[in-house]
Amino acid sequence: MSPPDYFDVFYAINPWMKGDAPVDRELARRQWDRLRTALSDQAGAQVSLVEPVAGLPDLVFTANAAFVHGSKALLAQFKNAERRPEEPHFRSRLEGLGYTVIEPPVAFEGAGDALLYDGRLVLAGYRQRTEVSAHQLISQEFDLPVLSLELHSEHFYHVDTCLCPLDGGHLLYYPGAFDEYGLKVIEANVPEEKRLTVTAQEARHFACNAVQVGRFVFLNQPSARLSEALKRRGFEVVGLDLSEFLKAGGSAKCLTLRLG
Amino acid sequence: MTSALLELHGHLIDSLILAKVIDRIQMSGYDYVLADLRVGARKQDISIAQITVWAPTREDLEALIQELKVHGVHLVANEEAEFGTVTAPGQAPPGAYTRHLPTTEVLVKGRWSPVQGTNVVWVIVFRSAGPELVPIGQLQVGDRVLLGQRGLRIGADQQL
Repeated sequence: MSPPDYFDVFYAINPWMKGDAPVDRELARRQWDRLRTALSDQAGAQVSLVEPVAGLPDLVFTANAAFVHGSKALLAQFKNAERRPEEPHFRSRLEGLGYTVIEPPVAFEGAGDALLYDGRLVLAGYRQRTEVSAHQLISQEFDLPVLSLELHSEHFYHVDTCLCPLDGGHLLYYPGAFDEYGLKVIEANVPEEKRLTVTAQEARHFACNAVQVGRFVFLNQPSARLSEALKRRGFEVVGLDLSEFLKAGGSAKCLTLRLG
Repeated sequence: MTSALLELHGHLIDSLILAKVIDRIQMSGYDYVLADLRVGARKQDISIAQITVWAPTREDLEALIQELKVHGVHLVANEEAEFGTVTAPGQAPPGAYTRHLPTTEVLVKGRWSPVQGTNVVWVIVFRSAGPELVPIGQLQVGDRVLLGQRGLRIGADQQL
């Protein structure tokens, strides 16, 4: 994670950033602290930090830093020029943690667009931020099968804004973010009883941008329906208020990068 | 009518990308042929497909390629042809482009009879007079045989 010392919205690279409400920095800090504390104290996660950097407001969204698996990290190559200066900071932190860092030759936005499902395959997004050719590199470097899913909505610009793999092969996703081909791919690879869809309203609250550690699932203001559905599957739901980060188009998952 | 050879590689089968690309070409109403498909042996291996598309104008073709680019499609038609040299009589070099006539039968008095000679495999050889089709069995040492499909254009009337 990276503390939100310099978090703000002063450019717009997704539709969520075009809102009028300014970021309340102090509230953002409290919300981030609450997420970090919940992850470590409730779920027992060990949290490593990336030093915040002035002028890089989105460095707080560490999910986009890289796709990390085993001892290797496939570093981001951000599509938007505004985020490219983050790359060397993520690179040096990952190298400091002992990972072999690989640079992709094309646009690729890390674990924002590549999610390990059931420990056996990667569900990867393309079109909005990541080029589909980057998916080949994932399978080559990590020897993992990849399913490439086209993202056709600018609002759900990373696959982690509309899809969240959970332990036990469960999958939380928003069907409205995918085309008919993507939905068929999901249905062919995830058994029906493991699929949990969210509504458009839940998706707009970033229900799919959730973090799971152990039996706990951390997400922004879940609906009663979704909390109940997750509980029935054996998860303990931890609802958080991450409203300030939603103004930049991110939530719990975007604020974290799973290392192991 | 103008044609182009398009290539795409990646997770084409399980991700339904090839199906999507072909559906888009069909929706455009243009003729096409899936010229080559090499499917990865394991789930983590990539697949490679080559598709020849015919469109009324170069502009139509470019608009289609532009639309398909996001799925990893790129144009390969303008690359120069590559040739391999025959080192033993009647044997094509590895990777040679081959043509087969479709299995052809004729119905005579209620009985389908196979047409002799349709099992011949042809290759393209570049000789002093230009490129020509030659049966593999007639290849001579030193013949220069077309490899793959780069630098190759096939007319729409030759699809069958």
